[in-house]
Amino acid sequence: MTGSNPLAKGVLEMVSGIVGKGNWSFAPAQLLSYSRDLWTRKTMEMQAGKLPAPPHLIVWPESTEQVQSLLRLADQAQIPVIPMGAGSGVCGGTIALRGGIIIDLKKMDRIRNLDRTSMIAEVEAGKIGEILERELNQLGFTLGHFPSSIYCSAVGGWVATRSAGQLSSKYGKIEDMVVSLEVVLPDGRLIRTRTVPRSATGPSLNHIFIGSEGTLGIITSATLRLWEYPKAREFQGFRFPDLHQGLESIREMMQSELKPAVIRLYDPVDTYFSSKGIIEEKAKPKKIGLFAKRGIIHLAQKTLPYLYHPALPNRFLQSRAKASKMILIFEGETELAALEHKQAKEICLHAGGIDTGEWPARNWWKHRYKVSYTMSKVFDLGFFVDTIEVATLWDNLENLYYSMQEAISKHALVMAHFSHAYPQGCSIYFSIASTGRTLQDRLARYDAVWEDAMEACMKAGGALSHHHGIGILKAKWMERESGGAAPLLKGLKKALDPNGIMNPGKLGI
Amino acid sequence: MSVDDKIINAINLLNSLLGKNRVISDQTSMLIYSRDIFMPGYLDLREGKIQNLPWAACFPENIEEVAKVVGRAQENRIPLIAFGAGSGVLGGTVPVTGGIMVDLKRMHQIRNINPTNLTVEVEAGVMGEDLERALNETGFTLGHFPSSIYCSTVGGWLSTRSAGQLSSKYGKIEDLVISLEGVLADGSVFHTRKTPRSATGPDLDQILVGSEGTLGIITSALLAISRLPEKKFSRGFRFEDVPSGMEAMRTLTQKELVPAALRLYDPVDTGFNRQKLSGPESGCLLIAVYQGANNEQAELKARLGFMRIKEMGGKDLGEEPGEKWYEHRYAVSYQQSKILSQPNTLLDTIEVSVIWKDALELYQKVIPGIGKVGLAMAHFSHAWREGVCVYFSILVSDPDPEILRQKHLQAWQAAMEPCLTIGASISHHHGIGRFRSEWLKKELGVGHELLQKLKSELDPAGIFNPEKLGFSAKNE
Repeated sequence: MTGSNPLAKGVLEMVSGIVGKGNWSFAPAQLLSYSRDLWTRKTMEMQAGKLPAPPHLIVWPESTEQVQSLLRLADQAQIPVIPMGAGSGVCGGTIALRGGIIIDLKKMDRIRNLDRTSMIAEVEAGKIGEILERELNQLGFTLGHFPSSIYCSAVGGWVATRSAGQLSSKYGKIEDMVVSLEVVLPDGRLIRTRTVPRSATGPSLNHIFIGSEGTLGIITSATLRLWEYPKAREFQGFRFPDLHQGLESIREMMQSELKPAVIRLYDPVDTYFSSKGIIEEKAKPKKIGLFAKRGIIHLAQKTLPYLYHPALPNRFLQSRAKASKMILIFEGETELAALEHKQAKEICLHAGGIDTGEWPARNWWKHRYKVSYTMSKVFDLGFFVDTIEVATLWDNLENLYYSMQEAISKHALVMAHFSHAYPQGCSIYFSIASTGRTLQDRLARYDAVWEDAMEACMKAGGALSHHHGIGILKAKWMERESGGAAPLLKGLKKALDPNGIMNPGKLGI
Repeated sequence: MSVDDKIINAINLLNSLLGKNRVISDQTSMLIYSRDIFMPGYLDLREGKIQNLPWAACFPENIEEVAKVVGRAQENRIPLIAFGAGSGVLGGTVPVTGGIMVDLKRMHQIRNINPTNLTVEVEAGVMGEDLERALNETGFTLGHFPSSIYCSTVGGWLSTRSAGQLSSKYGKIEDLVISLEGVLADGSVFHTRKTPRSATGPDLDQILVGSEGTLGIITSALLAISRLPEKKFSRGFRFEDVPSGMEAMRTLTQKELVPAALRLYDPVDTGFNRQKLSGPESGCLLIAVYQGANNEQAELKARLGFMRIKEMGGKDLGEEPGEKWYEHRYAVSYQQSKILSQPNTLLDTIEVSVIWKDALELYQKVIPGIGKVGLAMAHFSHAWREGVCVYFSILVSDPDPEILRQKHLQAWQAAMEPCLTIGASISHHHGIGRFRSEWLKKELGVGHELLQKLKSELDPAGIFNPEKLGFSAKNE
């Protein structure tokens, strides 16, 4: 490897000594590709030729011991360290704001141990989601964690950001699956929390690191709860005359102790366009290009000329579209899933829903990961898309939804779905699309969307993020989010990382 | 400053903040606050040993008052011990360095039962039974039934990571927390976000829950509630031995058939409870109670679950054992005093947590270990998908109080050491308090050093509940 590197030569030699020759690089192409994640703003900047902050070095450790040595070295030399899984974050969480070393954990990808009796598996942080799920399936298990990024996200990233999968209403979010963690602290020491079902041994050490986004240590493995691969899977679609009835049905299902694997309700705009998309797809099967796809991309394409003044099409759509589409999937033990399906139907019919049969849910299932892999084409057409996911309690849900919808509508086309439900509340997942005549216009509009959306969220009492995390994007609202508890988080940071080497500038600490 | 001066200072301070009628310092009251239900404490009492008296106790009525007390105590370096109802069993509220008891029982408002959100906003000093009854009257339940329910508070539950008897269905208290309000050591107040879930950094609620008054004082909580079940489906079964009964338990948890209550008694415990629970003459009693707001689902689960238990070798004993257990489920906490009034005897309970793979090994190591110094029995009381809580009951006797203390400690060691070597947890739901501190350090290892550093950052003078959770008395 040639070229100069701002890191001292001694550091490079020591890194090389720790991980071996082939496991580090500062080749320009490498640094470039590690300089961003999937944060929309960085994609826009890069498209205009503006290069984001590159790290100084990428390292691929192969063991926990190597990670320990790397952190010891970085801590002594006070070099920033950014842990990274697969780089599918959408909030800038792995951007090397101050240079330093990106520790890519993808070579730590083993299932270390699978305990069939206790139905748990210890998995290394760099394991890619889809590969893990496939290997577990072969053994008769499922993790039950299906983020749409499953092909390009890793176990460590899930835990570090409090990820949610599409089946979270049954299997829980990632924080519900963690039994124990192995974490390398900034000073190189190792914590292995106890692999036990529950305990009353002080504050939860797991919860210090779950969601810490690489700011407190590097998660090197996680022991996760497994489920038997479901014996049955049942599909159901519904259509509601309005959004409120759909939401009330979700609430009733969750509060009646049903655990649908999938429960998704699309707001009227989303429903309107996804239906259009489906109709087109059916009518002209040969034209199933990018723009026969459902959802925001289709929407953006259809309305591209109007995107310069999004308030107008928003007003038009929001006044025209009324109906809401719901998708339900039940799975697990055969008789239990069947009963849940039956009860869910009763609840939805009672609330005024129209049974649309299996097809909408089956069709969703077939395409469930697609959205994550079609985005990049959108940017080439000169507009941008992004997603904003928040959560709140039931009695505040519609208030939060309408407040944020209104705030976003000025700047971007907006539609939403409700995809992660709990007995106490629900998440809202806004998809937005907009454009501007120049890059500067687009960036200004992008920032305005987030500024106004987050402000509306805070005012309405919503949580800043349901499962994408904070990163850089939402860092400045963290103080308000914490409701006065920020000293705890800052205390953790000081206690664990006094030199501030771990993923600086993230989480607002 | 002499101790007397400190006491006078503390009382004056409290009087000025809260008014005289919400401050007490009389000797009888101080004696009551000097201990919880930690068993060897009874020995001290019997011997007339008076120790660990606090300087005063106060009764704040709202979070602002708590914040004021904390702020001034911080300035004056006065230890503060948050106190609920004193039913802890590990010395968690003992004022070992003196100081002020912050008794939260006057923060006893049930602020809001929200049927739309299925939540209850409740102050820390509300007694468990009062909360449950208020919820029941409006058609809801918290689903949290520790046997101490008559003498424990919401704040105490949260501080110690309490578990109720129906935890397999409703979760432990940490699973019911939506958000918390309270006061940090610098006197600042916090209200964490009211949201079902979020991805906004570490879950700070989960750092405060279990902190046993060492990191903050929890003054109120928003908790998840459930709709009140209409019916229950109870059944007792006999298993030949512990391994076969445990296998049935495990299967239910992993096949989505876990009941609200699932308890397996080992042969000695089965014998001990035979009359009370109409248990079998020999072998092990397994109790399964299904219930839920979704009655149809509970009924189906009960049908499938009972069938599965029988397939796995359980002999059906009918409804009676389950019904009787339900009826007597809190009794154990209120009958110990009879045994404890015997001068030569100590009774205690030790609850540990272990994954299924190691559960039998742990049980088989601990029972003979305790058996060397006393009587040991166990039941498996809280079942999870990946493991179980083993709840040991121990009885040690000796006419010499010193030897009795030693035997008690030896029995504990016989339970704690195997947990540490096997990789189980030393506590499932009673917490750490003072007595388990050294074992906690061993269990958490580097994790404990981390917590100690956090403690030092947040509470550098160490005013919050000194010498608990293994934290050193004063943080340098």
